[in-house]
Amino acid sequence: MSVAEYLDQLRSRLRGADRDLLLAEAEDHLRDTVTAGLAAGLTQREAEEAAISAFGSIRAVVRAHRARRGKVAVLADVILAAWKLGSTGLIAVGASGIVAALFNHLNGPRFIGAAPAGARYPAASCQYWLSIYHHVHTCAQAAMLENSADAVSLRLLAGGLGLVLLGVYAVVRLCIRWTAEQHPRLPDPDLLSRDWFPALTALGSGGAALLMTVLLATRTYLGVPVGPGFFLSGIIAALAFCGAAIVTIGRRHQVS
Amino acid sequence: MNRERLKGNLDLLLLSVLAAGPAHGYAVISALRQRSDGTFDLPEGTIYPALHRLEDAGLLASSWAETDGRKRRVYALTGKGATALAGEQADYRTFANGMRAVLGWAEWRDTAPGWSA
Repeated sequence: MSVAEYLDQLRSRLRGADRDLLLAEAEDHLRDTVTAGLAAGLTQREAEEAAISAFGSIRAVVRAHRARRGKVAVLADVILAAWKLGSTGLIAVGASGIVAALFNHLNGPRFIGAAPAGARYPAASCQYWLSIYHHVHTCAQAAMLENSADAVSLRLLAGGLGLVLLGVYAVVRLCIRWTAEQHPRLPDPDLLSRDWFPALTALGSGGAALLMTVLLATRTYLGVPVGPGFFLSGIIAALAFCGAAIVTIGRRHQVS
Repeated sequence: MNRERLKGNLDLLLLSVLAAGPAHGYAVISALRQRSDGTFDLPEGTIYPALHRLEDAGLLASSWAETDGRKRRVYALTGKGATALAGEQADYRTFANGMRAVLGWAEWRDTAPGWSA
């Protein structure tokens, strides 16, 4: 392994805001050791291998670095990563709200809100829906209107919340980057950004798409009975996020 | 040399090396190896996190400095570090004297003429 390859591997394994400092020192150190090796008569390859061997395995360096950061910092890394993933999930829900709005516009409220014939609704819910939608006369019609409207408004609300959370995350990330040198124990805002974030996004959205497909196929409802568009809008948004994540992973692999 | 034993005394060793004056990581590691005649030979990459940890604790201070035409992170003992070093040295001296006394007695006991267990 060359020094450049070693540093690349170390870069991909190190976490924490102070990662750049350790990498810069590692590069300097290895460069000095290689120079000393060349002066002692080693070939470039031998000098690089000897320098890496003396520096220690990636695992040993990462472990020493992690031990220094402490468990609280590692926990904070995970919380930040969950924050980023959660925000992305909420944005995906918001995207499904846009698809639902499109369905409502193209097909009317029936596609999303209408339950199969014979569906039963709780009496209290019926009373509530009928109090909102005065112009309809049956509970099924009121439920259809309520479901089709909720599928848009509540999901867009979730998407908006996701955008706000992601915006706050971006600000936190920027602050950590700016103060990384003064506060090396700050969490790593990019814990999942290199490989794990798109992989987990693909896994989460793919899993959600699969789950909704099963619910749709088996006509299983979580709560109030709804129409096929309710799940289909979610499936389309989830598949779009899953596809985008897979494309990102593919591009990363092409580059590397 | 048992690496765990060495790790347990790494802070004292690093502070001792830096008591001679500010130095960058490579120089600290080289001095550690030379002054111990190669006995203390930890993976070099594990020394940097230890230096960072000592800096977190306020025992060292570091800054970028130009040495040999290159920017390097140079570490220096702080006042708190010097105090901690003096305390650690005194502790270790007491410990080493005790160990020497016990181990020295054991050595004499095993080799003394006429002694039997």
